[in-house]
Amino acid sequence: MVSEPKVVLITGASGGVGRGIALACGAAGWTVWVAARRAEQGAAVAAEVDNAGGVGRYVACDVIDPASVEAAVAAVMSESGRLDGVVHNSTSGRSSQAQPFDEIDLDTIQDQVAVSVRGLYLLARAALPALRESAGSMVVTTSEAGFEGKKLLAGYAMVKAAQRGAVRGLAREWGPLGVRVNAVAPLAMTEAMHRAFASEPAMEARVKTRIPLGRVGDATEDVGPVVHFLLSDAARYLTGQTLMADGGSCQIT
Amino acid sequence: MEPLLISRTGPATDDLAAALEAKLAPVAPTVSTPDLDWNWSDDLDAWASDLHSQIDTDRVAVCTWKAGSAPRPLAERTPDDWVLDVEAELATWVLAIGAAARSCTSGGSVVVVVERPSPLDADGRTAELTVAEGLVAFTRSAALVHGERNVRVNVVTTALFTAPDDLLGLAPPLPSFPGTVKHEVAGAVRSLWSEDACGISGTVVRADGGRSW
Repeated sequence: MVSEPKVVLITGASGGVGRGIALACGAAGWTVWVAARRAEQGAAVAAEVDNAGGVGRYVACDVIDPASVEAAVAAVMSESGRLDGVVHNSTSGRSSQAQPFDEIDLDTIQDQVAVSVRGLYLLARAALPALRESAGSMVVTTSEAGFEGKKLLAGYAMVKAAQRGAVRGLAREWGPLGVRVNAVAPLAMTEAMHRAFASEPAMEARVKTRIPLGRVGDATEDVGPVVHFLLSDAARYLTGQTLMADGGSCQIT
Repeated sequence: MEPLLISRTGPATDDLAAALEAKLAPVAPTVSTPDLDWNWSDDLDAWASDLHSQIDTDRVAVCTWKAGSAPRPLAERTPDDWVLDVEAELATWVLAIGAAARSCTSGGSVVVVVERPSPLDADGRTAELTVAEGLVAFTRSAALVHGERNVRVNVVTTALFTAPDDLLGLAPPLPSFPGTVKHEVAGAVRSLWSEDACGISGTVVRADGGRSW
């Protein structure tokens, strides 16, 4: 099945996994709205989408601010005239800050809840009218942490699991409206992971050992196509699911 | 040692405390300003500190029930609703679960009771599911950490407050669905507190008559 070119908006797409998703969708000829706070980086990714064969656009978006999210969706509708898919990929800048469980800083968790969970709600709320019109879909970037829990990233694990709960609930609520909702749990090399490996060299071996495919994925080549699939018509009978794009690292039974 | 139940006050909590023969430690006061600018620390820091001092036992239950909420699609909830129904719930229970796991005596057991609608019964319950899954994962993290001092931390999920009147699909395996506080829920908590469950931690026991999977 070949999907018609779509118009999608991706939050947190100015780098990392979000950039990989944007480029994969761009390679399919789609119009990709790179929604991010960092204008320079967002515009650069939009240009990369152009080079990949799609149409790249940057739109300013602070996912914890209702007015900003609504304005971003409105900008897409104004210029592109439609919205076929949204990806909530934004993650708090504090997500990778390791904290012992018994010393968790409340402000840090609150920030993670705001970006990952409130951002999902605000994007869902703002995009629903457009997605109903296009019979579109939403994809949320979650993590294996939401299944396993984490000793030093308990707040991160919590918000990633909360996202899966939201995905399952929205799939039930939006299915009758013709809108699909799914999640992807990627394991990919990002700037944050590079920094983590550099700060703790043993971590790289530990992480790779548990991956049956033996390597950490690439955001554009390994994760982006999975999200493109979820957004495409090829996944039209798929909703409420979490696809683990992690080389088999976290096998859900 | 007398077991401790951390929960909101109300009839269901009273029933659970009675069935578990547990002392009740009430949760934090109502959020003062349920809006997007609400700062968690303002309302919760003092309570969390006080809660730590109340826990000196080897059996703790953290019951996160919020009774009486009607199903409502997520997109129809206002941002203030969202803060109250999701963010305030996560904030409150993260602190309670953290305090319970940290303060439970070595060799003890913490059980977190979470209302989690089954996939079939999730219509209009996205907010509740969001909170439930978040708390399950947080509990799992607590189990990873406090297992090192032989404290077990598990979850019991219930469907007491969100079960719809008209059930989709097949009937639940057990006709007692959604169960009662006194029997099904208290029984699951007691089982996980007991030595019979000495090898169980970081897991979810679904006390919902087999409705979810």
